[in-house]
Amino acid sequence: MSQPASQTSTEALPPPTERYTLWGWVYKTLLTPWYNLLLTVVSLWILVALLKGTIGWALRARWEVIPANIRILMVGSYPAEYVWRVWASIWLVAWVVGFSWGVWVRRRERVAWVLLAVPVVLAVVNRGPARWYWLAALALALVGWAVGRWARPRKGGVWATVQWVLYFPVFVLLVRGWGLPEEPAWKFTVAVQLAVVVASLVAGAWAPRVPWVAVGHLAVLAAGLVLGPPWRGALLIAAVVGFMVWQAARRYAHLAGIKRLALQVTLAYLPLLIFVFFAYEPLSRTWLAKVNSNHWGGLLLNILIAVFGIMFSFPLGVAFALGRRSSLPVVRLFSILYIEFVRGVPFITILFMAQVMFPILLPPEMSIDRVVRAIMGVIMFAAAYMAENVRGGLQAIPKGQYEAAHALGLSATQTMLLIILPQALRNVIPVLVGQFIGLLKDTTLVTIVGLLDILGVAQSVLSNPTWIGTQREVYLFVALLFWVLSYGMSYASRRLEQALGVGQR
Amino acid sequence: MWRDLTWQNFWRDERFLRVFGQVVFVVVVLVVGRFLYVNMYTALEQRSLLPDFGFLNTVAGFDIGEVPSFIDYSGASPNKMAFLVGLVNTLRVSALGIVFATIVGVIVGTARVLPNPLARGLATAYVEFLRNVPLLVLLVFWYRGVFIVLPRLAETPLVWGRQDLPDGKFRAWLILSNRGMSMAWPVGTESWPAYRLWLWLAVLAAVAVYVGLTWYARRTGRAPLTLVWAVAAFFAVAALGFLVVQATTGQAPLRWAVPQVKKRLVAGGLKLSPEFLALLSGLVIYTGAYIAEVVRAGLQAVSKGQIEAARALGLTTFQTLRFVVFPQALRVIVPPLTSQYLNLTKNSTLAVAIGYPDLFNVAGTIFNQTGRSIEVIVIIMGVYLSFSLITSAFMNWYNRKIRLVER
Repeated sequence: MSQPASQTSTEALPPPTERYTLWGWVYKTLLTPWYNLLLTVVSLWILVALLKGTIGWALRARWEVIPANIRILMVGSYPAEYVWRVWASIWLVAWVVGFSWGVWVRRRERVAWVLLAVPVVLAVVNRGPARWYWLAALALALVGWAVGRWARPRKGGVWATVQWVLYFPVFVLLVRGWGLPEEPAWKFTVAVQLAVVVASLVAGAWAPRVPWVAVGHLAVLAAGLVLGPPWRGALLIAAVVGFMVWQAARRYAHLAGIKRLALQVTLAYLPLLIFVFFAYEPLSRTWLAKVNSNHWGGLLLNILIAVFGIMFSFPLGVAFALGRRSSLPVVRLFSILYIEFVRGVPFITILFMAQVMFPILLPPEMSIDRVVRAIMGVIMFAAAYMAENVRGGLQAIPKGQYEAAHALGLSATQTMLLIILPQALRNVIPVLVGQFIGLLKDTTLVTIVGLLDILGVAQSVLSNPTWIGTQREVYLFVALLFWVLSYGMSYASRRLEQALGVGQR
Repeated sequence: MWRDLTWQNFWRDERFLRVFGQVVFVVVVLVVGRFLYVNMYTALEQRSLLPDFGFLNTVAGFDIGEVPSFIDYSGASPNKMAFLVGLVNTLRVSALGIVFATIVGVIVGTARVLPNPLARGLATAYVEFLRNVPLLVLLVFWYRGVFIVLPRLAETPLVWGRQDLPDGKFRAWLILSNRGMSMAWPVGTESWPAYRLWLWLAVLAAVAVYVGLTWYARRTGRAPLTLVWAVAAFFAVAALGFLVVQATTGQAPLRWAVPQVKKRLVAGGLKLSPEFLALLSGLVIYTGAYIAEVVRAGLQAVSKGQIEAARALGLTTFQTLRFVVFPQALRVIVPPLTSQYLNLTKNSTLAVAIGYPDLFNVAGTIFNQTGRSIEVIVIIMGVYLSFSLITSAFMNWYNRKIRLVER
């Protein structure tokens, strides 16, 4: 409660709170007037009927179908010897959640106990090694929480954000594994690519006034064209990325940190080369071997599709949102057409189109497998909705921000990147979380185009003669799983928003 | 760093850059488009499937489980008739779904702002559960876990109003089994054509009352319940006609067709397949949860002061609702509500997972039969796009109509 207000305070006192006895409360809210009583009776009737039916059924249900098939429901046909990588990503997320909680929320709240209860419950219901894995997740969450509390708030916040941003690429990398073409030349191409980029950074940072570095980039490009594959593609990428890095370094050469960064990167180049030439191969052959996307399945596939969808639709969506607000009529028209087209058709038609049309639209040698096609469909779909969300954030930025940035002498690009977008994106975080949840739910639609996500796996489990007649158990389990994931995410994001004060400034 | 500001290099001139940027953009789009088009053309040419809508007139060659009574469709009908059947099925399930979802949503949304904790808690649980579960899971659960595991007709179907008939037959007002639902339904008798005239008369009467009351309201400044009176006029004339026709021809124009069960067959009444029921109920309870949120937001958007002010001015509870709360709440409710309706229509494509022959399902079958990918995609996307264009046209019109007149 608030502090007792002194007599001189001009602050308005809160209105007096009504106090009831228990019976008085029941009487007032449930029993009077007559229509309220009627409502109470009807509600009670519904509640009793629902609970009676559900509990009666749940006690007789054949729940053993779930533990018997839990692995295939969770990861599909993901190779057993690599399942530890999925566990590793769970441990990582436990750590990151614990750490962020420690940094941002700090207090022990009821929700914290609920969150901690998740691994505890899972450890209790599981048997064998899975129990210990969940206990490890619990321990990591607690350690993360302690470390997060111990960290200073400001720095801890930065660290937590960095961890969240890094988590998703690391998750994808862990699950997918590493794998590059088998040709022996790739190590040399990578070494040269890295060299070009590092040299560009150094040149831009130390000699920003020298424009002839660009000639070097052109030379790299020309060399690529002359040498042919695999050098052509590799050097093309190296020249483009190198040019961009060089330009960026030139522009920010006046900043103190840039020279230090260039130095650090140069120093890191040698260990990187050693890694590429000596450590990469054993790693990618043994325990980080690539798991092809046709082995992704179960809930893992749903989560992967959602993560890929959000990761790639985000930049695309921002681009479309900016395009829709652009002053260039052609760009604006294109963006509007794309966004309205995608939002006007059902998701399943986009998925269907991705499955059917991509193989036709691309040349035969660029074949993409089904999972990747589905992911591309998801990205196309999510980008349009993302664009609308981001546009909402952009529209909420007052005009004064643009004018102030202009008055400070920032260019249009700088205004957008440094002033407008950070504020706009920060404001739409809650909406984006909502979209992510919606996307996660929508990933079940890939079943319809024949992928083995959790719903597809459930269907194949149910066609097994042993488990005929357990549809309700399996589908209810899937529904509850999604409920826990979605509700948990939306709850956590709401708490974090409150802690971060999003939308309150 | 001084530059002569009166003259710039033309590549730094913003007017040039704007045009140049757009040209580059168009060129990139065209190049990518041409790349895709050329690939598509060669791929389709190899399979001799170049876009051609002639397949619409060839024989479909497959049966559809549910064909509306007014369409004459069989396996020998052309593909365009199959598309039509799918379209009508989509419209049927969407229209019914919209009606029922609105009812559910309004009830649940209102319950969420009531002071009664039991009703509020129940409504909150409903909304929070359904909004966090994928619709497809819900539909599949509903279909494979509920509707097709209902008792068989030969066993003990769930019935309401059962009357036993001789030799093992029985009839009932409502029969629910694993074959779907059959229920009693009014059908026209021989005196129906005479009654149809009366129905037209009733429509005329309703329109007349509506126009008359609107004119009266404008003239006197009173506010009669125009729509209620118009509907009442319709039913009054219709009821009168019913009695008159019955008295003159000696036969009621409508009678109940009651479903009758013999062994494993149901005859008579209105038959609804389990696929249709599962799709409809799944869509209704899912969209109902979203509509409930829309309704709740609308009701909570009307500030308490408005209601108190209306009461202070002496308006009755009903008047407060009618003149103060509803107009303001509707302004908040209608735009998201229409987008929920559109979502429901788009979500009805999930029918393909449970085998209800909606447009997308039929189109998928036709694609599998003919291999005509582009044409099929163009048709389904065109249909759904026109749905959303119509909806957004309505929305723009409505927004213009209810825009606050600022003074």
